[in-house]
Formats: sequence, structure tokens, C-alpha cells
Amino acid sequence: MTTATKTDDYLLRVEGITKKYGANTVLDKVSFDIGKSEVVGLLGDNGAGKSTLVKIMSGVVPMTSGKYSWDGKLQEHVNREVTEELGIETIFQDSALVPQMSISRNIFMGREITNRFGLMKVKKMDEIATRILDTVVTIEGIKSSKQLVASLSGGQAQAVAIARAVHFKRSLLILDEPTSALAVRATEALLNYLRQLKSEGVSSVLVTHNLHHAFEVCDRHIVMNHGEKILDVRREDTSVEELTAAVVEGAEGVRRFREGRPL
Amino acid sequence: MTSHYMKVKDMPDSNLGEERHVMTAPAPTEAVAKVRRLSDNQPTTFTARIKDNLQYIRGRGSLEISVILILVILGFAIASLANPSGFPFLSPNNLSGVISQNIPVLAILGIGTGILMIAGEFDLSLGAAIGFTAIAFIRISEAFGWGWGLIAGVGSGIVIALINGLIVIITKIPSFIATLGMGFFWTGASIFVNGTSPALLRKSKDDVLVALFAGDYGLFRSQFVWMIIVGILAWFFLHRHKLGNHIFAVGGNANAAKAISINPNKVKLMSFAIFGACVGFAAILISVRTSAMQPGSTADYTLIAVAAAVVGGTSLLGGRGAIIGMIVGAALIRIIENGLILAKAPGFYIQLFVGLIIVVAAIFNKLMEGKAS
Amino acid sequence: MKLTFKKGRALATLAAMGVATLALAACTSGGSSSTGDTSTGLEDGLGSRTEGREVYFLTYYNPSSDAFWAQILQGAEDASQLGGLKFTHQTADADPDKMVDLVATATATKPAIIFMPFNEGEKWVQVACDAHDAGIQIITYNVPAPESVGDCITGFVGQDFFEVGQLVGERLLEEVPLTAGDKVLFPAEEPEQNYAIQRGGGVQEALDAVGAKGEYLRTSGSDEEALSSLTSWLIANPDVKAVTPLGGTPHRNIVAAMADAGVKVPVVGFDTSPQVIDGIKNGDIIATADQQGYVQGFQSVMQGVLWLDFGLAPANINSGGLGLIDESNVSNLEAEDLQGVRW
Repeated sequence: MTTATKTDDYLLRVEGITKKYGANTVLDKVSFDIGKSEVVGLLGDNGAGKSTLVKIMSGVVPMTSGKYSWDGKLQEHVNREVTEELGIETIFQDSALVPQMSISRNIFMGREITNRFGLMKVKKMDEIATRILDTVVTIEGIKSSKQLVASLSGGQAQAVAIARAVHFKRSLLILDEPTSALAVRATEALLNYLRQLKSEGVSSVLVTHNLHHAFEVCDRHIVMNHGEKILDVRREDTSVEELTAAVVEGAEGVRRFREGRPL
Repeated sequence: MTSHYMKVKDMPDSNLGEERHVMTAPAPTEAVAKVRRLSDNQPTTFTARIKDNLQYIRGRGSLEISVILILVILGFAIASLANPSGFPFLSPNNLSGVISQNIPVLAILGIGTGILMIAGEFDLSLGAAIGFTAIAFIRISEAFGWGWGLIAGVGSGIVIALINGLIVIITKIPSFIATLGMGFFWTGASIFVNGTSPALLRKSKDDVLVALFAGDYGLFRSQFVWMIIVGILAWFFLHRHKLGNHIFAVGGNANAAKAISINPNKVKLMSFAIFGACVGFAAILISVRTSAMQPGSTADYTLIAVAAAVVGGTSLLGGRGAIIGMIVGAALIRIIENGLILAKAPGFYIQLFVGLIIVVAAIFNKLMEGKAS
Repeated sequence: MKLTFKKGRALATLAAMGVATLALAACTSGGSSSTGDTSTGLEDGLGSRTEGREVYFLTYYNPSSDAFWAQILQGAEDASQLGGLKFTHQTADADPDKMVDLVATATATKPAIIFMPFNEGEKWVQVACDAHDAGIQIITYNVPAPESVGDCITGFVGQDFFEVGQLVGERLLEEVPLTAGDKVLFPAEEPEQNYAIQRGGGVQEALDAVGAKGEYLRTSGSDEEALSSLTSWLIANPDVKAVTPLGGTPHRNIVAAMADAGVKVPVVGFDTSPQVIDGIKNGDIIATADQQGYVQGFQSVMQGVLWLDFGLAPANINSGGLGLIDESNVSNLEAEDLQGVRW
């Protein structure tokens, strides 16, 4: 029996992920690991393929080809039901909320608390949602979890999406540009939270444009460029400047940076 | 595979006490907000709870239009009491013979159309489907008895709607166009199956059938009871069942629904099937009342059913609507129609006014929507 | 159920639906043509004397979706077979412009006769006269051509709506003691259309003799809608003295409406249907005027045969005759095997 090497002790491993829309290749043979108790930053300019990668990791979009393994086991079919069971929750860039629905119904969408016949226990859902909004994510200025999401500001709606993912996550939290709509203080709080998660054994993937935020909080950084992974380094082996070069100029930028000839 | 609700049950409520505070999202304006716990703010007394609930139903359309309907009914009732021979709105013949027979049909059609609209789709072959399913009901009843006829009527309604739904889902043509085209197909099919003379309900129309679906009980008919039954079932399904929640999700933001493992195609097909069942059942109610169905004569129903749903607050863009509203919308249209004839309004004005009411009601709902948010 | 239809399956499904639609359309659409076979004809030459026996029979409404026009077509086909014609039917499917196209295309093939109705009057005069100038005989039916057509057409087989309206009104006066100021209901599917105006006008003409007044009501062509509007109107006007339904839909629903409204008055109407036949038999309806659509098709084509073989000038024939159908002769309509001919 071989001893488990560090490289086998991952939480999520993707190998050779390729995604094509017709003739358009959006992701080209992307491979990396997400370790246990790790915060990984997923960086790259617009159009690099980050959001598609997020959707594939969370099971919402199927990959064209590639392998998806979880905790040592290869997953044959990956869809949202599978990833939900694995304990993966995602905060999407567009918050994935239904505006004409109340906050509590949005939080429990697809996971409604029901009785034997499938009828929802609305009172219970409202109560739990209210408690989530008191303890986990506080939103100032709202009166009830029965309020419609359409009546919230962008930042408040994003906060609801965060509350939902935080409440249901068990093993991996993926955040796609979560701070874009948030104020400064809320952003700081959220980044702090990712550190806390680490200490509780929950990994997270942070997709962001803000390289300073990423550098502050992530143990490892993966940089994408035009659908390919061009950099995969630990924080102690890199710097914000190198990450910037990678994001702005791609692989070429990294090479030049390492040769001491940054832009 | 474990089902969804078990996962949340796995996390007992006591866990929430251990959940850590993550962040605070500030209110959009600069106003200083006192830090108060939401839980402490929730209404406790009974009346406070009712007021609280009412506040969150406001703007979803059906509350305000229901008030309008009540006012109209009160107005007509008072006018009828003041002048029973000049405006016989409350005469048993009118209540039983007209109102309690034509409102339920439009209400059930409105419920089917409305549920499908909430899911984000249309089925404009409704009129043609009424013709086809009524003919199926009548001919099977005449040949094998109305027990089989009922199955044939509702069943053919469901099958027609599912075929329409599959075409929309597989080809991705907008349902508006696809079902408009299919309407012609189903009309042709009903003529092909039946010929051009009307299908007649004769020997299978026994007393039990009439008592069940068109029985006269003094001030109302059996159709009214059916409308209440269908309305209650539809309300529990759409507003309290998790599948109903999924319908709102798919219609309101299909991408959000997909991200939470709800399959929009499955949900839409389910909505088409429910629509088809409503159409088939309404066609049966029509057939027992009129004892005949002339193919090609039912095209008008399509848009009037949409009107009933829209007047009741259902959004044309999907994701918003209420069962009460659909029933209220149907009632408002039919009662105003009835009132105009009773008041001896000149012929062409009736069509004009009904059209006007529909537009005004739709505008009214839009305004109410805006005010509440 | 997982919806993972591959592209091939989807296309196949589409193709199957397309074929089914086309097949159904071919069966029920009006673009179809039918040709009668040639019989050997009578000894004196009727049915065979003349060589060129191609004729076009053009309908305005589509017989495959309209029972009345199906009767017209049936009569025409029967006469054509008896007379040994090469018969082609085409329908304008209620599109006035399409009728113009049909006549023009027919003209190009130089048939002996074109049979056509003049529902849209003036609009079709030009194209009919073009055909006449090309040497084709035009025989009309159902709705007569306007004055301006001159001698481009010969013969008309149909019902004079106004005249038959008068007939109905007069029968009503015989049965019901009406006096000045009495109210009579004139329900029609669409009261602003020609048939309703003409028929109603005829009835009113007869009623003017005693000073009774008719009131129009729109019922639409749907049975449920008609039932509701008739019942509502009767409840609002319990002082009505009689009802003359101007079309099939109100006529076949008036008896049920009177029962629901609790208002029962005498009825004389137009057009036949099983419900009207029942009404006549059990006394709820006094009489009805039958357009006798079959006669319109049959006689117009027969006139064509007579002209073709013997040069006889086509005559004007009142297809409805001078009689109404009431309890004395209603049994003629009841034979089940006469469906499509008489009802």
C-alpha cells in the first residue's frame, strides 16, 4: 500500500477541462487542484474563461471533455445535483436570485422545506431565513425576510446570495466576483470570513479582478488567459506585480517578469 | 441520491446558533440605521401578522384588482336591488343561468394560461385545443359513456399541450409562434376527426352528468363549485408546493433556477401539462352546457383567457401571478359583459367596453406593481 | 426523465411532424382539387355532346371547415358527375384577394365554365369580365353579382336574403299577434355582416306592417358565448314578444337560452341544424328558412351542363324555394344518411 502523497490529498481535482461552444473554444485543457483548507484565487482578465470554469466546477454547465475528481474519487457525471451533494456552494456574479420572489424563498429555492406531500412550510422557511439574516449576513434597512428581492439594492441582493451559499455550504465555497456590488467594509468582512472558513476546514475559490484582495487572502493563485491556465503558484512564491503581469500580458508577461523585464 | 429537503433537515436549527456572522450589507441610502435584530421585529399579534402578510402581497396584482371586483359586484348588486326589473343582475336566472356558468369556464382557462405564463411560456392554440378536446369528450361519451369521455377530454388536452411543449423545448422556437402555428394544426385535426358538422352530446347526456357539471342549484350551478375546487387545488400547488415555487423560479430567472439544480425544461413541460388539463376540463364544462361543439368556432377563447390572466395581475414576462387574480380577472370580464347587456347597452358597445376594461385593468395592475416595490 | 435529445432525433421528430402536418393540410385545406369522371351521357347528347367539358367551381368559404359550403360543394359534385363534366374545385378560404387570383388562373387554362359566388361584389367584377371576354361562361351562385357586372355573367342560383327575411317575418306575423311597439330580438353571429343586414332587413320590412321593432344582438359563432349573451339579453328584456335568429349559432342555442332565462316566446329563424330540427319537432321553434345549400351547387352546375350541351340560357333559381320548414315537413331533414346534403 503506497503512502498517500501530498499530491493525492486534494479536495477537488480537475484535469484537462475543455469547453467548446460550437467552434469557439472557451477553456482549453485546464488542470489544477483545490486543496483541503485552502483559499485559491482564480484570476484573469475579461474573457479569460473564469466564469465558465466556475460554472463547470459547480456543476451548472457540463464540460466538453475532461476529468473531475473529488477527494480521490473520479466523478462520472457532474451536474448540480451531484455538486450539491458534495457540499459545493457558489455565489455567482449575477447573484442568481429571482427578483419577484421573497428573500426566504430565494434562499430555499430548490431546497424548500416541505412536508410529506411536498407542500412548503412557509412559516418555517421565513423564520430560518430571518435568523440567517440576523446571524450570518446582516442587511441594514430591510424589514422582513418576506420582502421581495426586487426591492433590494444590488449590494443587498448580493448579500442574500452570499447568505444562501454560506448557509448551505459544507465543503467548498466558490465566489465569482462577490465584492463587485459590496461596500468597502462589507468586502473586508467577507475576505476575513474566507480566512475563518479555512480554519474550519472549508476551502474556497475566489474569482476576482482585484489582485490586492486576492493576494491578501489566497494561499494559492491560478491565472487564466484566453482559456488556458498560465500560472499556478503559492502566495509565498509570487507577488502582486507578477500576478499583474500575468493577468495583463499572459504567459509572455510572466516570462518577461521572471527575466526581470517587467512592462 | 438523497432528496433535497433531507439535506436541510440534516442541519438542525441549533446549528444556526453556531453560524458565525459573516458581514453586513448597508442600506442603499446614507440614512443612519439603528441596529435591530430582524427577529425582534417580526409581528407577534394576530392582527399585526395579517397586516404584515397583506403588505407583502401588495403589488403582486391580485389584491388591488380583487378590491375592484368587489366594488363592481357591490355596485351591480345595489343597482339590481334598487331596480330589479330594469337591472336584473341578482335575478336567480342571471346568477345561475349566466354568471355561474360562464365565469368558471373562463376562470379555469385563465388559471391554466396563467400558470403557463408564470413559467414564461404561452400556448396560443388554446382555442383550437378546446374544440379538439370537446369533440373528443363528446364523441367518446356518445360511443362509450361519459366516464370514458371525461378521460378522453382531459387526456387529449394534456397530450395536445405536451406535444406543443415538446416542440417549444426541442426546437427552441418562441412558444408564442410555435403554438400559434400549432393552433391551425389542431383546428384542422378536429375537422379531420369530426367533419364539419357539429359534434352532438345526446344519448350520453344523462341526469348524473348534468347534475355533476351543469346542475342547477337555485342561485348557482355545478360549474361554480368546480371553479372553487380547481382554484383551491391550484392555489396550494402554485403558492405552497415546492414545484409551484420552481415554476416561479423558472419564469422569473431561468438561469438562477438552473444554478440551483432546477431543470427548466422539466418545469415547463409540467406547466404545459397542467395547462392542458385545465383546457380539457373547461372544454368538458362547455360541452355539457351547450351539448354541442362546432369545430373552428372556439378561436376567440385564446386571447380572452390571456386577458383574464393579465387582468388578474399575471405578468406577460413570466415569474409573477396569483391564482386568486386569475379567477378575479375572469369574473371581472364576464360580469362587466353581463352588466352591459342587462343595462341594454347598444350591441357594438359591448365588445368595445370589454376591450377597454381589459386595457384599463392591465394598466392599473402595472401601476400597483410599481407602487408596492 | 432526462431530456438529452441528440440533434438527429430532434430533426427526425421535426420531419415527422412536418410530414404529418402536410398530410393533414392536404386532406383539409382548400387548395385541393377534385375531378369527376366522364359518364357516357344520355341518348340525346346530354352529358357528352360537347367536347370541351372542363369547368372550375370556386367556393368562397372552405367546404372542409364549413358545413354549409360542404353542402354546396356536394351538390355541385353530384351534378357534375351526372352531367359528365371535368370538375375542378378550388376555394378562396374567405380571402377576397385569393378569389381574384383563382379566377385569373382559371381563365388562363381556358375552361368552358367558371362557377363563382359574388360575396365581395364589386371587387370581383373586373376579373369575371376578363374571363368572359376570353370566351368563358360565368355562372353565379350563393351571392348575386352587382349591377356593374352587366352581361359578363349568366344565371344565379341562390337565396335572396332580403326576400327570405320577408318570408320569415310574414310567417311570424301569422303565428304571433304583434302590435305597434312590440319588441322582437334579431340575434346574429356578427350583425354588421351582409347576411345579417339583409335577412334582418327583410324581417323588419314585414314587421313594419304592424309597427313592431327588431333589436340586434351579437352572439359570435361560439355556442357558449351565444348562450350567455342570449340568456343575459332575455333576462334584461322579459317583455320581448318573439325571436328571429338570423344565423345558425343563435338559432341552435335560443331554446336552451330561453329555458335558462325563464322567458319563452315564439321563434322563427334561418338555417338548419339538429338542435333546430328538435326544436321544430317539439314545438319550441315554429319554422326555419333553409338556404338549401345543396341546391345552390347542384342547380348552378346543372344549368352549366344544359348550356354546354344544348346552348340553353342559364336561369335564375331561388334555391330556398318559397317554403319554410316547419313541423309539417321537418321529417325530410332527419334522415341520418342525408348528413352533408341537408344538414
